[in-house]
Amino acid sequence: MIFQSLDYLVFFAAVFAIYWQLPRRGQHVLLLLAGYFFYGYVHAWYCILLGVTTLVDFAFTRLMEDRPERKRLWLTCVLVSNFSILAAFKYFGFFTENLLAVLHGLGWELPRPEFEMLLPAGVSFYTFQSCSYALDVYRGQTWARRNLLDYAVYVSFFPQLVAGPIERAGHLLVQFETPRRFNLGVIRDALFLILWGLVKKRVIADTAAVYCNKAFSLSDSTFPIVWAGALCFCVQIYADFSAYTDIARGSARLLGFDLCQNFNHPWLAQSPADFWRRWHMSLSAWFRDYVYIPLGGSRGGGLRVARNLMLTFLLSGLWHGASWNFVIWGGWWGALLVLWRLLDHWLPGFTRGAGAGRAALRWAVTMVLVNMGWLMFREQNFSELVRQFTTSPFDAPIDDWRIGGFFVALMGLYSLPLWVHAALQKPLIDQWDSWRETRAGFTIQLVAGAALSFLFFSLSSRATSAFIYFQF
Amino acid sequence: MLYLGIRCWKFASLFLSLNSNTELGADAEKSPLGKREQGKELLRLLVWVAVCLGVPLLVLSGKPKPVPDLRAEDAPDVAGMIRELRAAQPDSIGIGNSMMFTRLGRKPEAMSDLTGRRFHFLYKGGADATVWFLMLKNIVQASGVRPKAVLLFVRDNELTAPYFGKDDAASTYRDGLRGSTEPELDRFIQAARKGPEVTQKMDRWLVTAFSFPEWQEIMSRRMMDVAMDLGGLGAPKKAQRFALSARFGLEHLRGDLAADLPVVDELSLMTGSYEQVADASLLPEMLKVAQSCGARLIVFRVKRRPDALTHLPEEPDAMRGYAQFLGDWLKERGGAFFDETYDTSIRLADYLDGDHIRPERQEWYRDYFWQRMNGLFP
Repeated sequence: MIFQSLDYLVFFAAVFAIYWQLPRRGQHVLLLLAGYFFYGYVHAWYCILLGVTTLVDFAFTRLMEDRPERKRLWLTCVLVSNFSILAAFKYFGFFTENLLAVLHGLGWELPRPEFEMLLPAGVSFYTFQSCSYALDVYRGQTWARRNLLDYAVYVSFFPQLVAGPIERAGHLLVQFETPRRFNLGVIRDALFLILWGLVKKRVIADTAAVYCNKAFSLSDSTFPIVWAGALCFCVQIYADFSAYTDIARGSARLLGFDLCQNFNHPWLAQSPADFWRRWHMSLSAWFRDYVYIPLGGSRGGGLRVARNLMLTFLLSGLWHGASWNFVIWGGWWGALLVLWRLLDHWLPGFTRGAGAGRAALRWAVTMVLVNMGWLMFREQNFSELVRQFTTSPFDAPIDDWRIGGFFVALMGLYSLPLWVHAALQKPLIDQWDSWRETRAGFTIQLVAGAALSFLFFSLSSRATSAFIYFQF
Repeated sequence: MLYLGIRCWKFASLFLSLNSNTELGADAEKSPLGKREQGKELLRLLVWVAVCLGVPLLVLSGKPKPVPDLRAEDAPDVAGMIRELRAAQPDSIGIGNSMMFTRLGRKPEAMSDLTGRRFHFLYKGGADATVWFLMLKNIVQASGVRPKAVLLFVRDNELTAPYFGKDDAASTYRDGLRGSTEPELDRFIQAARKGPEVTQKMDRWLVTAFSFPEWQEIMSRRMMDVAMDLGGLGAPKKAQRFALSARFGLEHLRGDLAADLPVVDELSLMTGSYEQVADASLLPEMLKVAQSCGARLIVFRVKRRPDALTHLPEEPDAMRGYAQFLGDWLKERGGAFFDETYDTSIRLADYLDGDHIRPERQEWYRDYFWQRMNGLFP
């Protein structure tokens, strides 16, 4: 079920109306049923996977506390079970394809396996969320839950089930264990957040998608069209993914839950590391806590840190999709972080220097690097990717420069609300608690809501698509 | 609006009172707001919702200032098409979208020379069954010509599947082809909207109440105009639009992309019997119109683009049964059906992008097409 559909509106309205009439236990039963209905809406068998993940992780984490002498074994069982599901449904085709290619290179011809599996939406998200719980229990950072219902609702909580944010037990699961309140003030904020998400998706991301698809559909694209296409994708993916997060957070707030922040204006980043502190923050934190730091993190010599960064980002790339372009994209980010550390050593004036000029230069360099990364992310055909990277600006005809210029200008116009949002972050959004109850705060929310609503009704793209991150 | 406001207030008050009865669950925390504050907050919420919905809808319910020749570019010249058809007096008329013109060519002369029969083509890129139906009814039938055959080019089950409204690229064109009343078309469009009955009705209501196509068109056009002024390096907008449309023509598109590969509408194959699906579609009407013109309706299912290992795109098991049914259904009623899906002579190298055939392979394709189809044409 997708957020921008009438089906979701009806579904959510029904859940919301019943939810607040029930006692806490009843609310949990309702949320569990709703989560499985939401997830199995397209293919009911998806629910089996979700159920298996929940039961296995719940049982083994209890064993971690009941029989701690074999804690390591129980954790291994959880990880093997979760990653087997991921491997089977997400990476099976990728690995067999590559294995067959290698064997073909060695002169062995093997038939392609006939059976193909449909990737369940969001499997990487809830698997990671469930894994983080087991890892936290293993480390003693949280305790193994005795209540299956609470845990099952935590894993299947529908607003963030298929595209995150990837929550932690310490943040979301504890909210299931405490009473929640119906707060009318929060309802208004939640509706505003949902509206903002809908505008980002239907107006900005879906429009950017049209132009991005155009740019990437050409066999003879030139420099301006390639890079304008990458910029369109940059706008599309940010608006699309952050829209999902906003609608998820808004929906969760209406049910009395607070989901963690997933984006913090990544377009304002001034270094690769800064970008990852602002982009898909829940995933970055997951890889930081469960991969990078256990590998040794930033401790040790330069080579060791470089290895840790590369490994972490290669895995992060592979998490995004079973395709080489995602691995390359992960490798690109790992390499950039390593290089930036070196730059920090050699040219601290550039990487840390104060002053608007230097900050602007850092920002411009970071944005160029980000867009180069998006090109790798978007283009799945390797030879085409090489061709795109090697196009020369001097070979492009004037008409292609005009088309590229038009695409860039259009994206600038459509992404204006995102820039306004970034500009208002410090003076208004961060201080919202003190603004909310004031007359000025109410007026601002009223005007902004009406403006967003106008944009939604008058500028929504005709063609809409599923959220990009559903496929991961 | 006042009535709506009072209803909302009553509902919200009831909602709050129910909450206080159940104490939001016995274990719930009490709301931090007192009764008076709650009332105030509820009023604010209702005002906020009313303004956020009401003001934009009030503005959008007015007529926007029209942009000159806004729809002219994509609107069909129905009178001109009828004139051309009358002048051609063809034996066979091909109707379709890019599946047809990238196979048989845009101009019918090559087919006429090859077959010794007079061919005429009516096509629109991105068109679906609704557009083909209108072409057949409001151009072929309205022209009074009496062709011997009407040939429809289709992909998978798109002749009967309710694709309408998913990615409606040809909506302006369809509107331009409409007659004063189109009851069959409207029935099909309404039935095509999927979902349970309740959401279907609501969807229809929402689409009617909250869609502002004129505003959407004007607003997006204005955005494009401003972007062309800013990024178009001083070129006139008309020239830029022409350059855009030429640059993204079929001959520039990549061969490795599945961008033009819609998947089979599995749901519609599994919903009800094939008989019901066919009866609910525009096919019976198309057959009736073709027969009233004295023509045999021939449906040609094109082969989808295979991959390098000659695998066809994933297709539900039900698709073969559907194709068999469609062939029998048409044959029983005097029509004909040809399915080239499993023909191994057509290879990946013959395709340009998506399911389109390369221009340099069109001559071979036409020849091969006629070898197979000759016997079906009266």
